[in-house]
Amino acid sequence: MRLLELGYMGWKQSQLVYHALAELGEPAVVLQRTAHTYFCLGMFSPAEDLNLSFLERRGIPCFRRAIGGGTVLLDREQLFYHVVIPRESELAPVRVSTMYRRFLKPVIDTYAELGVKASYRPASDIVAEGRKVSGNGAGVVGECLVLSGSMLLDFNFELMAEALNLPGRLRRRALELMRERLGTLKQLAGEVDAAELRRMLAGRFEDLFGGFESGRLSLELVREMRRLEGRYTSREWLYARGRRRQGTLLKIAEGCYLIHTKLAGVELSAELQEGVLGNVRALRGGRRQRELEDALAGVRAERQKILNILAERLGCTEEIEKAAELLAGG
Amino acid sequence: MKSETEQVLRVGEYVFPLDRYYCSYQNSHLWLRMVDENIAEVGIDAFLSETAGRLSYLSVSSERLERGKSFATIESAKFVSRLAAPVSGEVVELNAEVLANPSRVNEAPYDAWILRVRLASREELEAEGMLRSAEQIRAWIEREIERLEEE
Repeated sequence: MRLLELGYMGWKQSQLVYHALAELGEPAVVLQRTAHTYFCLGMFSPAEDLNLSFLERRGIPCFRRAIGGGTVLLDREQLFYHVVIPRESELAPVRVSTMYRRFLKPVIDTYAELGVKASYRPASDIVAEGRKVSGNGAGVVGECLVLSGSMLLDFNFELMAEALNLPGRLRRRALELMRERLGTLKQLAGEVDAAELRRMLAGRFEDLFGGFESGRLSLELVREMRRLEGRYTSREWLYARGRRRQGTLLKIAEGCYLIHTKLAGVELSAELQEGVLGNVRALRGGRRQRELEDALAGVRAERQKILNILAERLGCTEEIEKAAELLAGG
Repeated sequence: MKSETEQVLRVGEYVFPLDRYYCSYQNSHLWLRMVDENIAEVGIDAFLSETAGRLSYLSVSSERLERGKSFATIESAKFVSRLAAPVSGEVVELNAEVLANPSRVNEAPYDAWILRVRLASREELEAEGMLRSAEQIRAWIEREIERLEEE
């Protein structure tokens, strides 16, 4: 098992490195940062979640990784960790939740070392003081399990909100929710030296894996990254892979979602907090649809229950079924 | 379950109807049920459905299956993985309901078939890792449960 401490890398390289290690079947833990600000989509995140013309105007690139999780903003104020383990390894768990628990323990222990009492929250978050402090995604690449995540030293909440493909009122609400539900090390532990943080995290990963050989960007690894670059940076890969949804489902943190959809002439927005719909707003031709709002508010996020409410008022079409799925958090 | 008289095998908390094949090849945990002379339904077994967590995405990427090769991708719990084909053949039907609502697999893994395939050769049903008897399935799942318990 190798530890690669790679410092700052270009935005593409910061993602390609773990894809390449996995394709080569090389077990490793990578710690690094990105030199550039960019957005990163999960394998099936809809590209339409982001205001792509805003990103183009601002010259902010976007990458789609081949593992799970949602859309994230990545920048210099984050420390990335990537864990790459062959699927057949004894270290590779069968159960997905066990994989997160095992591979996120070093991250949780690092927070503890900084005086922050953090814990794992399924599916893939780390939370502290009721806030998400680290988001993670994972998957199988080549014949390896890969887990990738980051620790936030600081976070540009404004840029994240601005880049969302949502009406202005909802972008402002997204910003409020992110400020409430996301936590950075700066907020929770004060100014943390990034090099010290990296040293601590490397130590905790070493505890888990029982020692590392120190690694570097080998020529073979660089060649593999170059080989993969064309695939992962093509427009076809970036725009064609996402799931098709009947609107936007923005995850702020585990258990907290902002939803926006248009169905049967009604523009509907809602918040899904701990499995219950709230802050519902329905507009038809600029007029509030209070009866529909009241019917949905406080309802548990169960697809069939929501579908019944929508179908009774708006008819039962494929569009309505998809909207019910979206409002149920799916 | 399709009928109350259907024979099922229970191993630990997992249930396996005995009207179909189970694919242990590459630990793919897919089932295959013949619905016609050469047509089979393919789905995910109870073990994978439970250990993967709630499926949020399922897409089939191939019109032809090649045994052992990836034909579909799933996402559950922010984890993306591939499904390897249990047999070779031509895809003749996709289950649109399950593709649109992949969590159906978690709710009823043995009803939520993903696709129907016309087998290229029935001989593959006898290939390594295609399990049919209760004894074979039990032995395999007990090993899988042991792996879980060691975690």
